[in-house]
Amino acid sequence: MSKARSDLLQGTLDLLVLKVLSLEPMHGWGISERIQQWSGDVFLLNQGSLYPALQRMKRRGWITSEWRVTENNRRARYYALTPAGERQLGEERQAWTRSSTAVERLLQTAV
Amino acid sequence: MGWVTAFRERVRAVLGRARMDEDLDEEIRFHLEMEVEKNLRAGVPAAEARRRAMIAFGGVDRFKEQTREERGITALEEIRRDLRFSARSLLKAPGLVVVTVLSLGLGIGASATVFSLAKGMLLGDAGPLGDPERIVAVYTSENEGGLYGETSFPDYADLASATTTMEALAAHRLGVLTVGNADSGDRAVVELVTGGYFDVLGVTPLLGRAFLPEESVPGRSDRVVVLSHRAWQERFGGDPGVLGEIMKLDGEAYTVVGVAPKGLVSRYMRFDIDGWVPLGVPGGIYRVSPRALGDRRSRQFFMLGRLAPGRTVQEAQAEMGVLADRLRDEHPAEWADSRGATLGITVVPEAESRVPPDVRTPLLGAAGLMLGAALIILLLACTNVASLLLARTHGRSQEMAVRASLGAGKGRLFRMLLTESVLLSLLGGVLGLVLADRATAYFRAIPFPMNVPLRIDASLDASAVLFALTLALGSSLLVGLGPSLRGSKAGLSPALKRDGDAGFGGAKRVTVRSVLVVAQVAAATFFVIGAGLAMRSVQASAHYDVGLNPKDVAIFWEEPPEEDLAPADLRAHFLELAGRIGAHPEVESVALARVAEAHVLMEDFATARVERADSDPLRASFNAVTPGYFEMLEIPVARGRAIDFGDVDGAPRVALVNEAFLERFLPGGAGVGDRFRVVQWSDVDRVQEQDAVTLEIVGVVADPERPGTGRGRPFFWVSYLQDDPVRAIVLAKGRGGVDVLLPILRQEAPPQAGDFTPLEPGSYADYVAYRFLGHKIILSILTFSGIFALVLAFIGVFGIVSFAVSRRFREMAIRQAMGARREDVVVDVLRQSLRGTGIGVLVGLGLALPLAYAARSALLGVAPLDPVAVGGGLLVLVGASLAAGAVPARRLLRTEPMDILREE
Repeated sequence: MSKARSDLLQGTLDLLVLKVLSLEPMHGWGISERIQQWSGDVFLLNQGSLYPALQRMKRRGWITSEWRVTENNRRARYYALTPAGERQLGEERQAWTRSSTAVERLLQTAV
Repeated sequence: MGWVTAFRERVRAVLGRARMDEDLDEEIRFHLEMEVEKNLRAGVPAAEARRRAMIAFGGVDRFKEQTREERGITALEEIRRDLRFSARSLLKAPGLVVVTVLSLGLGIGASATVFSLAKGMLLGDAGPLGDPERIVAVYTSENEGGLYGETSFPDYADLASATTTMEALAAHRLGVLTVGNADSGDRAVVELVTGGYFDVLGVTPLLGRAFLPEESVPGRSDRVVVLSHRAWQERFGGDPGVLGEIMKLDGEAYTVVGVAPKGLVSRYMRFDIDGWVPLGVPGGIYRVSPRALGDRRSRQFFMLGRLAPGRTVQEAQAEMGVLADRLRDEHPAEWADSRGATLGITVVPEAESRVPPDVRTPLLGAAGLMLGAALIILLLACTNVASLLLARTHGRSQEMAVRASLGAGKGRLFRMLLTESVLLSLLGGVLGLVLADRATAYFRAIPFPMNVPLRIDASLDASAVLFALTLALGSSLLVGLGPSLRGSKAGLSPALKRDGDAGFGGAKRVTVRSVLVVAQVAAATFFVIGAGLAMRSVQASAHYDVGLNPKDVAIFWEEPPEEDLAPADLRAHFLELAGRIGAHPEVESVALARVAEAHVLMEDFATARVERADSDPLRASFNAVTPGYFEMLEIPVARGRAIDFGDVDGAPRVALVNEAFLERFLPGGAGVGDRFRVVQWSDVDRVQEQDAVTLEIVGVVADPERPGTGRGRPFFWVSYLQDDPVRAIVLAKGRGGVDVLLPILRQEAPPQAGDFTPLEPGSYADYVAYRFLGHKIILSILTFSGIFALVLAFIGVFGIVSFAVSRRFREMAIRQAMGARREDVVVDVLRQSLRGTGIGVLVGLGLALPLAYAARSALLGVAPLDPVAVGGGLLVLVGASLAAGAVPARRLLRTEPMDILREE
């Protein structure tokens, strides 16, 4: 296990899930795999914490879910982005850019 | 879009919780299986693959719970859980549930009943009237000077044709008709109305139509009827094809032409009547005959007007003032009241006329008092329930502490306790509604003392239900908040240490509870003594001297057979009837009279203005009676003689007077042989045309000893054989009793279609007893309240003694262990309970006795400090509180001191 791992920021998880789902509908395990691959195992993701987050986003109307059959013929719940979710992704991405730019600038001046 | 999805998600969350849980399980299973497979593919052994998957997931149950919470229905779910929990924990205390629900139910039931009655009679809404703000009631002033009296038909006709401020003016009065054949005994109360009545009210019939102009010409009206909604439902089963049906009224066929909308009640007193009939149907509908319609002195109609567009009540009043002046000028004799003052006309908005303005204030006062009493009972019930819950909370402080230590939040505990109170109150509210429904049903059909099926328009409607629910929830807050706050505040340490209740830290709490108990005992004392006095009064009424003895006397009211008979002919007709009745061997004596004396509603039907030496004429009630009357009713003639067969037309006019009359109308020392003058004779709503008459006093009647009420009212008797009769009250006496007499009366005077009489053949004693109907009603109310208050006080005393005993168990145990005798300890506890009772009894007595003194005249001679009522009441109270204290005290007696101490 890598030492460079860090806890996933709350809120960041929403952004990442939305991002994953913006490519294609996906089930919970698939989402967690995709996030871990992308982040190069940097983020320490408790896979279970994904599910409360998914439920929350569903309640807010950002995503929908649907039981489907996987390529291996297993039943799984697939999540998909709604238009509201897409808007949310845009907003979160902007917010993220803004704040990360701000943090970056802060660090540079402080050093 | 978002919120729709969100909403659907929430609904699904509520509706399909079990289903969602299964889905979540399956979803997580799938996740773990995928993860395990991934690990297996990477070459990890099966057991290790599984372990790593679980670690990566990080606590299945934890995330399941978090996911569930994210569904966003936790509050709802918790309320459900609270309710289920409360129900379960209440089921464990069935006694508490029964007592509290019963208490609250009775309190809420009483309040809702009084509210419904008061609302029905006093605050009634406009009902289905159109533009009610344009409707006015128009009154002619009364003979006695009151402003809100009836109007004669000729006056009405003059006003209706002259008015310009009102676009229509209608007249109406109540009438009673017999449904079906004359002897059916099925009465219908209707309003007799002029043709424009429904237009004035702005009411469109639900079915059919109102009266057409041509079928409602007063005096020549057609036999048509508009049914009330209730009569339509009850008599025709709500048949939509009822129009055109024939309904037999007073033996005549009436055609149903319409059904009124629901909620339309009589204008006078808001009675729930059967229907409407055009005024003045030929053939003599109840007392609205061509003669009455032409008689300016016969004032028997109320008037309703609809203001013309843009006109105001003030303008209508001004116009009526001018018209009244004109009528006064044209008919000075008829437009003078009994004191010689001129009459006036008063215009009042519809909203203020629903209750006759002259009785509104006393009725409102009575209703306010009753509502106050009911609310006090409810308040007492609440305090009792509160103190029961408080005791329960106290007993549960350990349970609460354990729950708190297991992580239940303060809010959660508070909610849990409050849920219990709400649950109890709602159950009480439901019970209260059921009781109120029964009670209003009882009052709706309360038997009026005139064989008239008058129904009060009072039923549990939405507002009463709302009222009861508000009371229920309000009382649950009142009742639940205190104990719940205390319970949730209990916190961990004091209760767990279990020393909290041994010390005296709760002294203040005891004080509050003591005050509650004192209040309860005081209320119980008040009601119990009131019930005792009422019971004694009803007892006394059986022997109450009303001035005559109605035993074995049957009585009925006979109307003249036709109008406009000469007085001598009418008298001859009635005397002939009396002769036929007297010919039966079972009849010992028979007599005729003008009024039924001692009948609470009829004793003042006949009045006369009598001149006095020193001031203006005053009114006195009188009766006209045949020879034999005084003997039959055992009315004591103290001096002189009774009416005899010599007192006929042509002979000197004679009278008997009572002592009160002598005192009031004649100079001191007057008696038999003196004379007095009557300047005007009246009967009910009619001033009889008669010249001033001088009467010679031939006898003086001793006033009955009426304990507590002073002397009798001034009253005099004239000879029926010298009177201008308006009716005959026929009295027959026989040793066989009333049951033997009634068939004879019915045989000789068979009921005639169309003449409803307010006094059907019956027992005179029963009719006299009507005057004590109020006593009986008050007795039943007070008895009910008394029993209820006693039960409440019992529970209250029981509660506080149990509480005190439970708090002092340890102290008592130590004292016993130190050698105090058990009896002393028990006496100590009982003394404590009796102290509160004693104060309560004194307070209650202090409230009850002044009221009893104030109402002394209604007690029928029972002393306000009647030993049976007051002493018996006190015995009951002390006994009840001793019993209430004894139960927990026995617990002390039975317990071994060492057991208690060891329990620590």
